[in-house]
Amino acid sequence: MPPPPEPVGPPDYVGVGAEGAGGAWWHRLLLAHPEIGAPPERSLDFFAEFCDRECESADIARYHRRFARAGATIAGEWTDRYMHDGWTPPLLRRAAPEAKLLVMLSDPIAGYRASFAERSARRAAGGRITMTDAADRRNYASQLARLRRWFDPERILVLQYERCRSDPLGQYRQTLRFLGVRDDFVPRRLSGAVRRAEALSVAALLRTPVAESVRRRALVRLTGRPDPTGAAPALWPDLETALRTTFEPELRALRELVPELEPALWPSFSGDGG
Amino acid sequence: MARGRQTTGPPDFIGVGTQRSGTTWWFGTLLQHPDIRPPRERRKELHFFNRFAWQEMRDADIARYHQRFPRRPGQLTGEWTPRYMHNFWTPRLIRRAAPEAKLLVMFRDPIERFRSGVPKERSVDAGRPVDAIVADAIERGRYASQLERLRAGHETAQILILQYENCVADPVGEFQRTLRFLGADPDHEPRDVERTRGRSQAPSKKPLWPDLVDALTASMEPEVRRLAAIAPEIDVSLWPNFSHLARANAPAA
Repeated sequence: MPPPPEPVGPPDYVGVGAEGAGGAWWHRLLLAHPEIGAPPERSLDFFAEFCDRECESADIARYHRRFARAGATIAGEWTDRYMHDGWTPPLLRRAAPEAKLLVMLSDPIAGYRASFAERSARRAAGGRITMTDAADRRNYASQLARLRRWFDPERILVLQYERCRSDPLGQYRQTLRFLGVRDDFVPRRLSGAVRRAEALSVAALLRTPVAESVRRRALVRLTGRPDPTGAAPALWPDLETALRTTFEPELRALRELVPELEPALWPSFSGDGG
Repeated sequence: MARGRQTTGPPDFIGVGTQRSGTTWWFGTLLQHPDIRPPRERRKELHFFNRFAWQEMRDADIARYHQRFPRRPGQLTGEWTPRYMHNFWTPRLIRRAAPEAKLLVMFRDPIERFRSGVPKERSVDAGRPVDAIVADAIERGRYASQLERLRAGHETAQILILQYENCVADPVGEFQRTLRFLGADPDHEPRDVERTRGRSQAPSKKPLWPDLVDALTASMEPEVRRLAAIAPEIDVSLWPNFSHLARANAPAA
């Protein structure tokens, strides 16, 4: 007699953003928890196609089938473009109205610089690349405000990458409590010895002359970001000023939406009085 | 008729936005004026500043930009590249390259702009993923944020805000307003301004479904509210997808 099918249903949690902010790293840490499960793909990117056609009930059922509990207590996914893709929040609300949402943010200017480095390399290889969306994707306040039209603020946990790097265990436990699972679990990668080894690896990667693409891949694997210290070099003055002009209103709005946010942790804005 | 030696220099005006909002029609109508001339290449859109997302703009680049704008004494010249306003790095560069230029912005109901912009981009850039096109089209509707960014480096009086729907309803009046702003003789009457507007794209527009309408409204409504507050010349009641905001703000009778 075949075993009964594993229960499926809407995800219990969905990581929705932001792009390039370290969400994949955080999700890998969450998946080390014995009560948390996810589909095998790094990110499902399930809703992208519904920018071009209506999302039907059958599509939602197909989404639910991706979340077999398989012994885990809760299941979810993390696709860090959901928050930026303007058509996705109402679909997420339809498909997973009870889901808890996770958002990881990081210094938008440091993120733009990292994106610039990565896209410059692709452009040099002949790709037809633009930069406008690299800024658009970091308009955190506008995206978060839009998300809150469909989800109560209590259902959204906003994390800050830099805080997760400096206090990973504290932030990890906060995330576990938000998700409603045991909060006394420590993944091996967050144990003291592994973290010390990781810090040494990161420092070595930052100073060793290796190909930039190799360095970036290794840093992303270790820390979730190609520039874990936010140390990608500043761009030229006109561009840096334009970035600040663009992001400062967003940051002001973000501080109103998320009072616990610590702008001082974002090197590009740390001189703004916190 | 302007006479005298031809010189080059910074443009007198630059149209900076927005895509699929009637800017080709309006630029073409401006060029009917005997004292207004296009860039050297006779192209409306130079896209000159796009490249400076990747490299610093040098003084030599600015000199090259100026060479694109020949004119004789008494003539005005300029260009209109709708994405300048959307490209966050461009307003500051315009300020450097053409500090005295007057800026023109044409706004249109942002959902109608979206409906027109997506099929247009798909037709001109078939290799680009549709989700990237749609995400970009939503961002282009962030009018208030773009205008605030523009005003961060330019005086409000240096920017003329036009509304497509107003230009359709009163083309001659809005044309004369544009000419006055540019400092051209406003008594010139354009020829057959209705005909040059081009055909309606409505038949090729795809109907939107309820989830997408909700999403677009949620994205754009805060921007439209702010735009109405910072640019009182915008009449929100003319935008079919946002006219409810005008009714909500109307004083009680």
